[in-house]
Amino acid sequence: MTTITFYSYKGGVGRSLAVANVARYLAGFGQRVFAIDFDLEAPGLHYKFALDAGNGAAQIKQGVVDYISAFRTGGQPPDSLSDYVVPVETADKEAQSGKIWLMPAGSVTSASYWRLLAQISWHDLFYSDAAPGVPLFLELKQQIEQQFKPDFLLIDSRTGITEVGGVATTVLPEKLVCLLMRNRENLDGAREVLRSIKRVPRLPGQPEIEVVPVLTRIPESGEVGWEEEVVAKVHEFSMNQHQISR
Amino acid sequence: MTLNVDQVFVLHSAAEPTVEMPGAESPLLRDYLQLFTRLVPREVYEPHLARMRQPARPERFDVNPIPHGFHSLTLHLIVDGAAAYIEFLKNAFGAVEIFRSSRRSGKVMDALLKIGDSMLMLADDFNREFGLLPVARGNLPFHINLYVADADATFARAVAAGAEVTMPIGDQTWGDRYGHVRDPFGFNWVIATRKENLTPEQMQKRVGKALEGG
Repeated sequence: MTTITFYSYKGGVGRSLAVANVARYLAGFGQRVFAIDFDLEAPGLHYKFALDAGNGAAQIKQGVVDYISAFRTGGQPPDSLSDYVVPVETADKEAQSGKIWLMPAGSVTSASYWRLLAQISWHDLFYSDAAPGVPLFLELKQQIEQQFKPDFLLIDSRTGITEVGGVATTVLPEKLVCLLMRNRENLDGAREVLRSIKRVPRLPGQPEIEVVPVLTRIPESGEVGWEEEVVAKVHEFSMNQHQISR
Repeated sequence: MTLNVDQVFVLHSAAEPTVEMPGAESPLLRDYLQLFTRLVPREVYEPHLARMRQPARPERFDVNPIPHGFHSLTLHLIVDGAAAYIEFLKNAFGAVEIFRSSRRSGKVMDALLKIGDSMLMLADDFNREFGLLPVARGNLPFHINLYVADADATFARAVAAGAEVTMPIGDQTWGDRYGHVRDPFGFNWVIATRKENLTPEQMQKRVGKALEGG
């Protein structure tokens, strides 16, 4: 299983859409794909999989927030993920199609979702003595691998610099797709994230995270040479990351 | 410690707001395939490239690159006396005349017939006007017409495989992206993509103008 996290410092760069598109393409290649929505404060991945209406909405009962809450109350994670995962219809029935599963943030249209989310103490999870947060998310990753046997785990990380975002960008993935819009705010923010990724130690035996910068919302019909210039500038910026010392 | 950032990828804004489905040609397909070169092993996507680059679905575009009613391959016969031959085909095989464009002399520049579920193209010999070797001077009396979604790509591929360019690919007055090659075995191929739908009247007018230099 290859784990790929999609991260953006700011919202509105088309991150969830990219996760959904990559999932659909990979399924089109016959791959088994498990997608997970870690953008708990502004969840939306299920919309990109068209699970917001009809049967889909009814299907979504629980998700990541409920999983964490079950851990909080029970002291250990649930044994089976099946209550927290919904299958996604893959479009092309004729093609040899793979599979997509989604672990949504939760039933976001219910009041209980936001109540449960508010009750999660990120501080306790990540900064208390023997903080259980990182082991919990590693356990979740292992459960996904064992119970669904996906070829790819795609993580829709939340924006900014947060605890759960940190887990998604530093502990879990082999590859980190960093989505950027070409403005100073985005680029500076992404630079901070890349710096923080460098600071977080990997688990023993874990290879280094491969960072894949992606510029989004580039107009299809930009002026000739414009796009090349923008890409070159961002590339130069990204290359400068090499010179950041620990 | 390096972050291994050696390439910046691009997703164009045409991505939004819809989720693209595999199987349909997408302006973003190129972007994602580029991205996949870094994200997933080559053997994951490579076997699917040909299928994913299938022609655009007609409901998404006004002009079907393979015109309605055509199969990929259509025979284009070059006949001395094409008008008379059309009458023969009607009598013998129930051919239905779809379109005909003639010169003032009565010579058929371009005719399209339907026999059963297949199209048949035919014309008098205008090879010379197209810069091709006339039949009387030893050329074969037919072309194999191949309609594809991306004529330029197919053309380039055929040439790379050893076909000889006999008429460079270009935008033609009748609305096709169109060019000729002769394959190493001596057969003539037309490689074309429909770009613009013209009425028979428009086509007759434009083709006539082009061929008669008017």
